[in-house]
Parts: sequence; structure tokens; C-alpha cells
Amino acid sequence: MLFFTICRRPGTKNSIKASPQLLRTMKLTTLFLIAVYMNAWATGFGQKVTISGKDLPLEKVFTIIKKQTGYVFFYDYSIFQGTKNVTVNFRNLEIEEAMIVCLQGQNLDFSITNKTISVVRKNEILQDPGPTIEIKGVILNEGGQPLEGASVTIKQSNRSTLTNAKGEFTLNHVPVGGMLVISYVGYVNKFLVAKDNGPVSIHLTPAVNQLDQAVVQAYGTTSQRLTTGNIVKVTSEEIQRQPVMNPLLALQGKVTGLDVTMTNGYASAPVKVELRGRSSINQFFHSDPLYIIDGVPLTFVGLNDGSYVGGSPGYIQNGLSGPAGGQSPLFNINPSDIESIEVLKDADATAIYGSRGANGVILITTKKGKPGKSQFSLRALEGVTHVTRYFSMLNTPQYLAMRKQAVLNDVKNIDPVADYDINETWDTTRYTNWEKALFGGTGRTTNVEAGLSGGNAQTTFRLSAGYNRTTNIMTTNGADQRSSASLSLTHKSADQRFSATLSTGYTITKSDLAELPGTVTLAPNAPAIYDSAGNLNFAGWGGSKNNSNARGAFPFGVLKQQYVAKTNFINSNLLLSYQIFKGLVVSSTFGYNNALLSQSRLTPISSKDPASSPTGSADWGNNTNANWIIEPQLNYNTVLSKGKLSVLLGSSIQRTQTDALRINGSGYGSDDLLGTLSAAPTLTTYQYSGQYRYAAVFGRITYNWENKYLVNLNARRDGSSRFGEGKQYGSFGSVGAAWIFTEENWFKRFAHILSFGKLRASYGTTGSDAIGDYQYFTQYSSVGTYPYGGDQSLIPTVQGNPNFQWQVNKKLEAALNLGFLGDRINIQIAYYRDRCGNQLIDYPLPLFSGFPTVAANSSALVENTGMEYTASFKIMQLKKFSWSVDFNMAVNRNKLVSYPDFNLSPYAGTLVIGKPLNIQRLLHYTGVDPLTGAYTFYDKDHNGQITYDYTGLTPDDTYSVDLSPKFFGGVGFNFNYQSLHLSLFFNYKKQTGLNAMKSLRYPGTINANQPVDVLDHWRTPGDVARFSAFTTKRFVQNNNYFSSQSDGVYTDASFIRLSNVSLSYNFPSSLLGKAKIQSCSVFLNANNLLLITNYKGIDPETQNFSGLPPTRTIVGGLSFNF
Amino acid sequence: MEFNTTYKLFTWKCQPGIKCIALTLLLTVVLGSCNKMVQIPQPINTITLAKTFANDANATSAITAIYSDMSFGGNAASIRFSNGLTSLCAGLYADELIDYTYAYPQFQSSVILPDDVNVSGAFWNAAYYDIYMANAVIENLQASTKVSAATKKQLTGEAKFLRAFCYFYLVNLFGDVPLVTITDWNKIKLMSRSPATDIYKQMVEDLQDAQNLLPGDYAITNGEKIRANSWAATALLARVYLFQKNWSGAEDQASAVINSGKFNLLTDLAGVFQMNSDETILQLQTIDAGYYATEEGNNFIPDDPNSSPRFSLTDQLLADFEPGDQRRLTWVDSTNFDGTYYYYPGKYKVKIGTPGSISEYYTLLRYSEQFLIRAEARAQLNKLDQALLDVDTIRSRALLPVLPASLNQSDILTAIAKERRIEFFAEWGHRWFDLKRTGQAGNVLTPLKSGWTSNAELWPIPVSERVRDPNLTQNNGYF
Repeated sequence: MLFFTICRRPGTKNSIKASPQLLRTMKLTTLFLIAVYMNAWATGFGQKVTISGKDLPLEKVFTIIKKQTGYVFFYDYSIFQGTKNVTVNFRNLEIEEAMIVCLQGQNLDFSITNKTISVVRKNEILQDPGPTIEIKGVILNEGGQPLEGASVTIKQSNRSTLTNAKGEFTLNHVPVGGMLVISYVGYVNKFLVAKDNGPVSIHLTPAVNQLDQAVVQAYGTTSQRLTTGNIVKVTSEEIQRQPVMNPLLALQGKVTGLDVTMTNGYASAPVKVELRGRSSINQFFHSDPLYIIDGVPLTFVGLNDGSYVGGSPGYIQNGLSGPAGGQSPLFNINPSDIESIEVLKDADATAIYGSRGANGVILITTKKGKPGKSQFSLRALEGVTHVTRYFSMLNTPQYLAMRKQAVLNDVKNIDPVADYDINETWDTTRYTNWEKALFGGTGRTTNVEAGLSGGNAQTTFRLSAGYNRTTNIMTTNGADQRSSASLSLTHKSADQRFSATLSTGYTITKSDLAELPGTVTLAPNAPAIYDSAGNLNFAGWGGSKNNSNARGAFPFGVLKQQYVAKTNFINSNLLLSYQIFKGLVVSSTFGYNNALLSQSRLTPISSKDPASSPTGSADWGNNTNANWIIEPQLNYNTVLSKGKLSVLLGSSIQRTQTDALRINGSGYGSDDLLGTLSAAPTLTTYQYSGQYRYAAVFGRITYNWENKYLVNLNARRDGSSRFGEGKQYGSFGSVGAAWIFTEENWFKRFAHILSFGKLRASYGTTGSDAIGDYQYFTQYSSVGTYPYGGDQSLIPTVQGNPNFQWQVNKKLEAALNLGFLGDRINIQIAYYRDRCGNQLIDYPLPLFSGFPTVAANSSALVENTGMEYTASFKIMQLKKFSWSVDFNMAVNRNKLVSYPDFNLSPYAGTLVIGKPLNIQRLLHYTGVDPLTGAYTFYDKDHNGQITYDYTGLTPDDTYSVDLSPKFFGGVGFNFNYQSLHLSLFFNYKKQTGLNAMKSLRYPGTINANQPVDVLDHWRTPGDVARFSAFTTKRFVQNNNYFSSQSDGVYTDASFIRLSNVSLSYNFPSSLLGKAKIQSCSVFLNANNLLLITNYKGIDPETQNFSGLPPTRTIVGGLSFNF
Repeated sequence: MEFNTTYKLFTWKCQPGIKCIALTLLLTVVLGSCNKMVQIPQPINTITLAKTFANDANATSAITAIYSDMSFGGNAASIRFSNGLTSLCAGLYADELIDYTYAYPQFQSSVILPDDVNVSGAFWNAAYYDIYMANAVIENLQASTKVSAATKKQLTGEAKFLRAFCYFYLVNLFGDVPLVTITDWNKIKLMSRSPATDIYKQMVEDLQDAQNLLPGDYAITNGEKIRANSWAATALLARVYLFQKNWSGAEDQASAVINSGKFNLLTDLAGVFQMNSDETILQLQTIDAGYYATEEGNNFIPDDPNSSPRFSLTDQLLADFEPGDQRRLTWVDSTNFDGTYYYYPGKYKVKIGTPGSISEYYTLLRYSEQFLIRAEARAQLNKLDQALLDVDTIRSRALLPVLPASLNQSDILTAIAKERRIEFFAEWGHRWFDLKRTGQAGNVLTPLKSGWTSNAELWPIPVSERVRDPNLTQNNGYF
């Protein structure tokens, strides 16, 4: 290769500026150089430079670059006149980028031709553009597939064009030697010097920088750099590290502002998901966002549809929700099939979903094939799961002492019938730790997955299959299992204008569960669960006296009442698109999903007390949910002036049909017939059905001015079948804007510190029609009734209201994104204010009106304001070792802003204007009276008595405890040492919650064990104690009862959980090459390894005593790629 | 460089026609009317209000649903005010029963908290749901043009009877309650409580209407006494007048029933609570499912003669039976547990029946009550001889001697009260209501229940209702 530098010392008499002749010579030289190196020019890029220093003369920087890259500089010394010194801090920066940064504000321009960098004064080119050429080319991705809509910009004039479906572009009048910048969302920018050597082919490589990686948005993709909205992406790597069956649980703590809570310890259980606080005043509504899998929304018509606290029961809509309380609909998705999960938060990101985006949107994108050599991957893991914490309860002597003391305190004798736990009906020397006896088992988790993917530029595919199984930690057996298969196929026509993509996932799940008897609080001397023959020990519980009260207290019948739920779930989406002409693409998606769920719960005679001459019964449940959606779209991309304009016009038609059927068969005389429907002496059926239709038109206009100013407008008009005549339509829209101020020329001199800075804001409306179907007219039904006197019964089931209409949520957001030191530190600070008015709720009615609720709009205005902080730090980036930290925190403040005629509303006694919705109105607990031993409370209205007024009129109960989290988030640490990878993820939450005393509030009552804390109880006047005197009475006003209505039963339930640890090792390719294995890794994943909390109870997250607590899972596995 | 190489596997011929079709399709969708797209067919598992009252059969189903709900609890199959819980809870609350299941300590101690789920769910809500259904029938039949006049008359009469029946229990348990006679939730939701006298006025009006609208036989149910007829209305009206202290009204109505010749007092006491027995005026059919027995029978009867008791009669009540009283022998049963006898109400004999051969129906109105109503009314009207005759009719049936003719008015009233106590023990809260209306509750219960106050004569208005309707006031002594 030929190296040379043309340098003219300053002070020599021929200044290049003074001599047009020389200039021409230079240009000719340039042309010559281009001619010499013309064939290699597209491949010589990608050189990296690392420079740091303060006030470096430009010339020195050039020298360093030359040294590091071997590139040759070509310039006249006179250019340095008037140039400023530069302060830079580059680490592995592309040479072109480095040059851009160095020459910012220097009135210099550069071009790179093969390995020669020519630097000239800017105005020289502008003054005399010299010869121009037409450049043609094609832009391809890493797999050789054309990229449509990539922009190609002439750097000097900012003139640009977009590529067509084949990735081709043509640019006229490009000055020879001019710089072209090629950019495409999700890819690293490429630079190219214009030369007259025929068409060029550019391969873009996917962005490594987090800011530039592709992020899925509504109907398209964007990047964190360019988005005007708030979108959080969780990658497949992050999801796969977690040993969970439900992908929603992998989001815990990962997404700022998304509160993901387990409702119990069953793997298939519903998950409560809430984004940015509670917006509905209504406790009957769950807060689930809209889930969209590969473009198909998971819509099910709410027939028996959960609650705010319990979340959605998913497809189980027949009321037979089983021990887990339903099934999370996302349990049907294998986390390993997910490429990414995007959470859309603000109006800008969600408004295009119009009426359904009020609670945010979660987009789930499955993995697709990539062109290239076919890859076969195999992953297998196996592990164990168990409970991590137990609550210390009284032992038998302590328990008996408590009970006897309670009887004594009540001036009673031990009752020969009633007090079976201490009257020798039960053996008073027995001791069982019921926590360990019930859920002290070890569960196993198994996971096997295989995938095959590959393809060429025209056709790509991915096929995968997986099997997961997690057995219960309960002492009875039971397991959640899932088999899944997925296929994705993409084909493009040879001219690339037509494409078809099919994504299909099919899942079969089986949950085989038994109810956990809510009996952690069983007396510790209660007899065994099973007798010596292995049958349920009813007789043993009755004791020698055959005490039917004691027999009646036997809670373990449920252990023999197995519940089985099987789901078949298919989710499929076909996307057809065709480019009509350059820039205009017509496309349509055709989506379908179908969930078939069948359940059975058998209650055999053997699970019931034989003394009650029981009969067997069985419940069968069937749920079908079919949902199709067609979304035709027109997409137009063009260059308008110096900006890129995208226009999306689309419409959406959706139909959902949910049918749920539950059949109860009772009166079986024999357990052998229990499974047979037709053998049931009595059958009762419950039928539920809902139909939902939805149609919308929507549009989006995005304008991107030089990646500096971005504007995004969304509008949508929605129609929903859930409203009565004349109320069916609603309009929603948003505006979002962003300013990337680091792109401003005047800012470039700070670029070495602040590499990226963006201010963005959005405002818009989203809505909700989540009110259930047919609520606008009164209905009668015979479901669940019995005929009478030979006539059918028709009972009213829905109280109609023809007047309710769309709920509208107004969302405002402003955010600042900053990237420091070459984006090694990224920070986002976002402020939002969501206001929800005209709330669509199940308005609570007094029962004397006949119905508990009616669908109606409430005039309550609820506001959520908050700050979200997200940061990522690449602390160390060495060749062998790297260390990065991710952090996020969300602070939300929820407030009932206003409610006209509040005092006459059903919420007057439970809510307070100006306070959060999640408050509990309570008495203020002031401790145990040392004189009387009674619980005392603050008499706020000083009227001499404690009043708990449910209508909110008298004020002793106005102390409020807010149960919403104060703040929560996550911190992740990632370490890489050569092939070893370690990641730790903590999630944390600051919150107040119920302590154990709420559910165990009567120390001394029969067959109710208590935590050891109650040993600190009042005995004689003068005692200062935490608990009142023991009593057998539950119904004591001002004492036990009021204590449960006071702030004394709430406690700090904050926690920091080491929710995930993942350790993996990739075997070096030198070892694998011989075995023809592309990559192989061994890994160890664990969740819930450590919990730091002051909470008294089993778990601060689930906060209950009757459900299965969260478990710890540790798995190890291997993964191969062939 | 292969960007211009074309694989010929698939070529999309871009014809102008296709473009047009694609564009037109899109525009049709975009611009076309969406109205059709968001219209859904009628629900498949429910029918609209209009259809419910569009023919005789459906409208009848709307009435039978009320009986079905009262007898079995409809969707939430459960014991409730109308199928046994009034007998049980009012019995515990007064001086009739002892709870050995320990499931009802609040009734036993007569200290009920305002968020008690039994009070709100099984009494208040259950009764008002039945009232809603009755109101809906009355309202919609009035508006309906498709239901035949005869059916309208029959169903309206039944609805009015059932509405009055439910209000009778509400007003006696809770005192003043909201008087709901319409279904429009928007007009009802903030109602206040109406004075008990207004509720009684409404009951009288409804029962008089029912007397006029309903037939005097059981033909529509083929002789089964499971739907209200005019005699049921008359019998309940007699009771309502008695509670209003309208003595002559009570006497007239009771006489009408007694003179109707439709009913008989059974000499065999074991047959009184059998289905369609001669002595019953109205019963609720037992549904051939679940226990195949009345809820009350299932609840009171222990598992076996030697198992621990469920509910036993108080010593005071047992002591009030005169020797030789056949009711003591036939209507009281016992279990021997751990060497001790516990006596429980045995009016219903079947705990778990046999599918397909139900023998007992739940009795709402009984002929014998009419004699005791008339006796009391006549005693109050100072028709002492006639009053004695009526009491003696009931005593004789129980093989007890007749009362001495020398008794004065006050003695006769005391004797009637005692007779009512024995005749209706553990039955529909008669004892509890009688103690209250005769002003004896405090005298009788103060020695038996620690902390008894006169406030306890009324149960608390459920908290959940007061939360939903802030205009609802609470009874004295409750918070």
C-alpha cells in the first residue's frame, strides 16, 4: 500500500487558501486516490480510536489517530489557523465519529477515502462544490437483507433520501469526496465517501450502544435515542436468566414504574401488574396493562374478572378459579421464546392503542429467525424450589397456656364440646409445626428447550419447542407444566416489495394443584393429617369422644380435592406487506388467538367426614376465548426538507368471544363415578358468555429533523361494543416532542463529556372500556338457579345503565435523557402526571337496591404523579473484564383530587379527598392500657368514645395508612470476566403492609395459633405489653375488633430482595470447534436468594397467611448452539 | 455485489389493479361506517328485560325465581333468612337455642357488630334481593302488553305478597328500613330509612291487593302449597294487623282463614311439616339437590344420635313445656353426647334426604298461627270466651287440658304468649318478635345475657350499606 502525507509547513509562501490552482491539484489528487483505492473503500471502516486529553492541539490528535489506525492524513497546514484545541475522551470510538467530534465548530470538514483522511476548510467545499456525481447503492443488514427506509444523507448539505424496499437508494449531485451518512434505527451509522465507481453495497451492523438498539414500539420500531415517548425494553437475556415460568415475573424490578407483584406461590398464579399507580377508584377492577403478543392483543371478556388486589384470573372466567386464584394469561408464553418485552408508559407511546392503553401497554415480541447458517440450539436446566422463611408460632405448651388463660380471663370453664383443643379431645402433648408440615416440601423445576433457526435473504425461519415443569412445595403433590412450540417464518419476494411474516406459538399447559389449607394457624397440638392407614384423619380429630366440633374443624379435606386445569393456547399473527412505490407500504396484520381451558375439581367422598354421610361432588369448567384482529395499515416514509417524515394510517377490527361454562355435579354415591358427568344425580350449570367487538381508525405522524428535533402525533377514534347506543365512539390522541440538544452544533464542544442529551415531553389521552359486556341493559338469566314447581327460574343478573361512556385518562410526561462519556453512563429522569376522570367503574350500590353494583361513570378525578429514575453505568470495560450497573427507581404519588358530592358517594367512608386511593381509614392505635389491659385508640373528636363511622361523618377513623408503595425499583450488577458472566439483580420496595396480627387478631380463641409475639401480653394492672389479655371472645367491641380497624395492624413491609443471581460460563470456541459446537455454556440461576426486611410474617410481598408464599428456586443448566 | 440479482422463486407482479384493490380495501375500512363493526348479537346466556316480560312463561319464571331464591339461595346456595336462618339466629338471639357449633356467637350473646356478614348477607341482602325481583315483576308487568291479563293478575298478586313477606322480617329485625318499591337504581341509591309504620302500611296495601288478585286454591301448582294464594295473603295480613295492634283487623283476617274450610289442624304432629300437609298455608318447595331436605332440618339435626349437638333448646324453653305436651314428644329430639342429653328442635325430621323422594317442605305459614292470632286479638278486644276457645283448640291438639274459664284478660294474654312460645318454638323467630312487640324482651333477656341493653332489640344496619348509602342512619347503640 502506498502511504504518503502532503504537508505544508505554515509560513511557506504558498498558502493553499490563496491558490485556486493548488486547490484544484489537491482535488485531482483526491480523485487520484479514490481511483487507486476504489475497490476497498467499503471495507476499510470500523477502525477504533482511543484518545483522552485536555486542550490537545488538533494536529496532535490527528497524529494520535494516525498512529492508532494507520490512516493517513491529507491536509494543508493552513487549515490549523484559527482552530481550537480539543478536549476529548474517546474509548473505542469509530474513527469517523472521532473526526466529527474533533472538527465540531472548527469550520473544517473531512472525508475519508480508504485509509486517507482529507481535511479541508468547510467553505471551500461549499464555495466550490466541484464535480458532482450520482451515487447508487443498496443498504443491507448484517444478514444481507435489504433495509427499507434507511436514510442516506449528504453530510455537507444535509440533503437525504430513503432506501426503497430493496434497500436501494439513488442520490444526485453528490460532490465527489463528500461524506454520506447512512442511518437506520437499531444500527450503527455508516459513513461513506462519495466516489464515482458504480453502485455500492453497505452492510450495517446492529447497534451495540443501548441508545441505538432497536426498541419495539406501537406498529413499528424506534430507538431510545429517537423515541419521543417512554418505552422500556427488557431483553431476552434478562428474561432467560430468571428461573421463572411466567415471563411477567421476570419483569419484577426491571421496568421503572411497573409494579409486578406475585399473588401467591403457585407458578401459574395470576400476577398483579400495575403501571404508575392505581387509577381506578374501583376495587373490582384489576390494573393489568394491555398485553400484545406479536401484534395480537390478549383480550378476554371479563365475566368473573378478578379484582384490584388479586389481579386478573386470566382466561378462567367461569368462577372456578382453583387454588391459584386463576391462571396468569402470560403463563402460556414460554419466556425463552421471547425476543424482547417492551413496556409503553406515556401517552405518546400508548395513545395509538386508544381506548385500551389507559393502564399502559406491554408488547411481547417473540424470537425470529436470522439469515445465515442454520443454528440448532439446546438448553436444559434442572433445579429445586422451596420456601425461605417461616414465621415463629407458639409451641404446644405455650399455646395451651394461652388458651387456658383466655378461658380463665373470660370467667368460664373449659367447655367439654367447644374447647376441643384443650379439653383432652385432642392429645395435648402433640406438636406439629404446621408451616413445615404443609409447605415445607421441596419442589423441582425442569426445563428443556430446543430451537432451530436460519434462512437466507429471502426466507428466514425459527422453530422451537420447550417443556417446563415446576412441582409444588406443598406436601401433597402437584405441578405446573407447560409444553410449547413456536414457529416464525418470513418470506420476501425477490424484488423485496412483498413480504409475509407468520409468527405462531402453541402452548399446552397443565396445572395440577391442591388448595393449601389455610392452617398455618392450626393449634400445634392438632392431630395428624392422615391416620395410620393413610386416610384423612377425621376420627382422630374427633378424639375418643367423637366430638363433631373437632371433626368439623378438620381442614385437610381439600388435600384430596385435586384441581386440574389444562390450557391449549395458540397465538398467531400473519403480516403481509407490499410496497406500492418507494416510501409507501400497504400492510395488514391478521391475528388470531384462542385459549381453550378446561378444569376439573373433584371432591370425593373420601375427602369428607364419613360421619356426615357425605356424597361426592365434582366441578368441571370450560373456558374458550377466541380473538381475532385485522389491522390494515398504510405507511408512508419520505424526506421532507431536512427531516424524515413518517405517516402511518391504519385501522383495527377486533372480535372477541369468551364462553365459560361451569358444571357442578353433586350427590355422587361412589367415588368411582366421580369423573363421570352423566352419573351425577344433580347437575347445576353456570354459563357465562361475552362478546366484544371493537373497531378503530388511527394515524400517526412522525417528523425527525436531522435527528435533532422530533415530533410525533397520534390520533385514534375507537368504537366499542361495550357501550350503549350513541355512546360507542371515543377519540383519543397525543402529541410528543423531543429535542436532542447534543446534536446542536453549539453543543458539540461538550460532546466529550455529555455525549447524548435529550429533552422530551408528551401529552395525550388514552381511555378504557373495561367494564364488561352488555352492561348497558338489564338482563335475566337462569344460570345457577333451580327450577321451582316445575317452572324455570329467571333471576336478574345485570342492572342495566344505558348512559355510561368512555373513560378518559390524560397523561403528561416530561423527561431528560443524558448520556455521558461516550454513553458509558446513561440516565433518564422522567416526570409524569396521569389524571383519570370520568372513571368507568362498577359503581357500588346499596344492596337494598337489589344489586351490589352498576356500570357507571364516576365523577372522581384521580391523579398519579411521579418521578422515574433510570441509570446505567458501564463502570469498567477492559478487554477481559467488564462491570456494569443498572439502576431504576420509581416514586409515585397517588391522590383523589376531587369528587363532587363526595359525602353522598359510596366512598365517603373509605376514601379521603386529597389522599391516595390505597389508603385504609383507621383508628389510631395508642397501645394497651396498663390498667385494664384493653387496646386503646385515640379519641380524635374528644367525645369520650371511639367511633368507627363508616360513612365518614365522625372523625375518629380518619387516620390513613397508604398501602401503595412509596418507591420501588431494582439494581442490577453485571460482571464479565472473559467467558465467565455473573449478574446479580436486586429489587426493592418501600411500603406499608398488613402485619400478621390482622389475620391473627384474637389471641386466645379456639384452634388459632399465634405468633410468639403474643407472649408479650397484658396480665395484671401495671403491665406494659404489646397485646391485650387473652380472650376466647372474638366479638369484643373497642378491643379486638377495633384493633383490627386501627393502624396498629399495619407495619413496615419494605424489602430488598436479591431476586436473581445468574452465573454462566461460555466454553472457549477453541475447545468447541472440534466438536462442531458453535457455543456452549453452563449456567446457574437462582431467584429469591436473600431477603432483607423488617417485616413480621412470611413474606412482605404476599402478606398473607393463607396462600402459598413465594419460593426460592435454584437451577443449573447447559446450553448449546450448533 | 449482488443487490441486483433476483431470485426467481417468487415474483410479485405489481399490477395497478392490485394496488387499487388494496387501497380501496383500506379506505373502505378507514372511512366506512364502523357502526356495524361494534354491534354485538344478543347475549347467549342471558335474556333482556324486555324478553323476560314478553310472554307468560318467562314472566312466570321471574316469579318462581323468587321462591327458588328463598328456598335454596339461587346462585349462592346458602342458609338465609327465608329457609332457616331466621329460626336459628332469632332463636339464639332470644332465649330458645344454644349454639354448640360456635359459629354464631354474636347471636348467642346478642352482641352483633355492624359488619356482621350473616346479618348483611343472609338477612338484609337476601331479603332485598327478593324485594327487587318482586318490584321488577310488578313494574314490568304493568308495562308489558304481551303477558296475558290472567297471568298478570296472578303474578302481580304473588309479587306483592312476597314483597310484604320480606318487609315483615326486615322491619321486625332492623326497625326502620328503606322502603323500596321501584327498581330504578338512580332513584334508590341514596334513600333514607322509612318509619316502620310506613313499611307496615305498604305491607297492608300489598296484602290487600294480593287477596284481590290471587285465587283461593292451589290449582296453578296442581295442589302443591308452594306458591302464595289469597289465603296466604290473608294469613299474613292477620299477622301484620296483630303486629300493628289492629285487633279487629287481625280477628277478621284470621277468622276468614279459619272459616275457609281449606285447612286442618293435624292430630298427628309428626305430619305437620310434611310437604303440602293440611295444616300448612304456604311452603317452600325443597329442591331435589344438595341435602334433599330443608336447610333448617339439615342445620338443626346432628350427625347421629350420639354425636355432639349442633343447637340445643335452652333449659328455660324446655321447662316451659307442660307435662304431656305432645309437641315436646314429637317436635323435640335429642342426642346423647359424652353422657349428656342435648335437646334440639325436631320439627323437621330429615337431615339428608333421598334424591327423588323429598318428604318435607319448608313451612312459611301455618294454620295453627291463625288460631293464636285470633285468640290474642279477641283477648285484646275483651272477647275472652272466644279467645279461650281458640287457645284451647291449639292446646287440645297437643293433648293438653283446656284453660280454666276463670282467667282474666291479662292471664289469657299471658297464656296465649306461652302457647305461642311452645307452638312456634325455634320457628321463624316468632318468640323473638313476640318478646319485642309485647315489651317483654328486656325482662326476659336481661337475666340471661350479660350486657343486654334495650338497643339490642334492633339489629345493626349493615355497615356495607351505610358505606354505599351515607343517608342510611344506624340504629342506636351501634357504630
